[in-house]
Amino acid sequence: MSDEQSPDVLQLGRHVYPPLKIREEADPQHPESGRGDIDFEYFVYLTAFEERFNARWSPGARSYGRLNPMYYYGGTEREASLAFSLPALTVQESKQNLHQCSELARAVYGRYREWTLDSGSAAVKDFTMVGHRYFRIDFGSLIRDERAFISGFTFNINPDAGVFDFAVPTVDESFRAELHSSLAPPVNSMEPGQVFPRQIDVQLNIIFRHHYPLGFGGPNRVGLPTRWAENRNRDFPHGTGHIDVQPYMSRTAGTTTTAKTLAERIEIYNYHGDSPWMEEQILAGIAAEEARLVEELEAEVAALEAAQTEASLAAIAAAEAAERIVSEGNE
Amino acid sequence: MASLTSGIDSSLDAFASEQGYYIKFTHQPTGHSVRFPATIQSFSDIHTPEFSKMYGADAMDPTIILNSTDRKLNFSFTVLNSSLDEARYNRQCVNLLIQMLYPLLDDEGLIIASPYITIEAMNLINSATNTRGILCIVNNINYTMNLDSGIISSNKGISALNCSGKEIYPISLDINIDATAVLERDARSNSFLPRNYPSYGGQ
Repeated sequence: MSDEQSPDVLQLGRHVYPPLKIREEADPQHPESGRGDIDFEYFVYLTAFEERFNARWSPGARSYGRLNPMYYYGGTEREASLAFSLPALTVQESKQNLHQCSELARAVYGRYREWTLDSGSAAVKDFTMVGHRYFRIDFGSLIRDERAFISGFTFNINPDAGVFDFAVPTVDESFRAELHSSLAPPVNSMEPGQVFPRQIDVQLNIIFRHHYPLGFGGPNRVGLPTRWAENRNRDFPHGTGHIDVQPYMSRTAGTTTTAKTLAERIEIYNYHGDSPWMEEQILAGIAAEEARLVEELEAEVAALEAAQTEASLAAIAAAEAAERIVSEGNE
Repeated sequence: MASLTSGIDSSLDAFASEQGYYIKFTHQPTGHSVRFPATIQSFSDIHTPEFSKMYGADAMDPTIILNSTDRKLNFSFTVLNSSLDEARYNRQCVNLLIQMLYPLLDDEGLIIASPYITIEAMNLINSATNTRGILCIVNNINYTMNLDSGIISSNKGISALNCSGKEIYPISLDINIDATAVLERDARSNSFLPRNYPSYGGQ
């Protein structure tokens, strides 16, 4: 969290509102490509929030006189549009807002890799696109640590709110600015020719890519077709705080949606905080990981022992053969 | 089988109950249902015939052939929250409505039943042959927070996994539904389309 946001905003945010967190993560297909560098965590003034759940139905052939065509269901997509304002009380805050917008703007561009082409006398540098960016987005109980793509970014300056004009500060103003950025005069005292807006309006479009089963029944709810498929004792799509989930959403024994690797479990734990069930999951994951390692170790030891036995038998056979040859020679 | 009613015990619910103003959604594959007070903001019911034309050699006008008629419903309603507890419960109702767009899965995770939804809304969306409403395919649900009306927030932290941070609830929330009616033929009826279809009521 940046300290350059106004203390009032930080105070309000920390006590009442959740920050918007957008964190780039590695391509699930190519985790070796790295996590990416976009890491946005900021208190924003939400001005619009809209979510669209679109079911893909395709109509089949229409025969003459039939009331309806056949409809084929293909899945349900979830998209969201999020608009927020970034106000600035100081030049520092305005700069910080611009910096954060620069971070977010890069989210809709691809990831590029630098490579060097050796063309004899001089090496030529070039870039190649390695794919799009993957994100984890968290925004309170509305977007809860979901995997998503950012499909649109709009940056607007609100001219009616004004900008921080350039002015040479007095000695007293300079002194106060040195004490803390929030005490600086509301003017651009350093950089003529730069526009520092007092308000920026941003719109983000998001396409969700859920990494858990969606629907009713499914492999996590065997024999329970009216229960929600995720089986994690939490609501979908939006969180509902301290009240219990409805019975059809509650966790049942059997398979539950879990992270596949220990790293994923720890990551989920870090996001969701302290919870007995998650602790149970972590411990189960650690136990499973330990059991797997022990199994691997035992297999290795067994293989080593087998190899050693084979080698020692071969050595004994060779020694016996040598002894036989020597004794035959002596005879 | 879940059966929820949004805004229960609120003054809005009391009025809706007295007047019978409700919109009810029933997920066909599971039987889950959710009911909202009918705070309808817009409503349209569009019946669109699909024609094909055949042209003859000596005829100026084409021969018109009616192939079928589509019925598309579009309506929006508002969900109102007056307290944190009500907002949480109403969100569970809206969550169930959104979940109805998802199908029934088998034990392998394959789709075995598509998410058909029966919608009932007083005499506006009402079956001509029974009292169960109209079977629909819901193409999309739009969820829009009216932030100008204010929000209800809670800073009480995390309760197990049910939230990953602080809660935000709008005081007013618009839900827009875009659906296509799947016209059912009543096997017991002699007429193809009943005389009272589409059953808006009135004389």
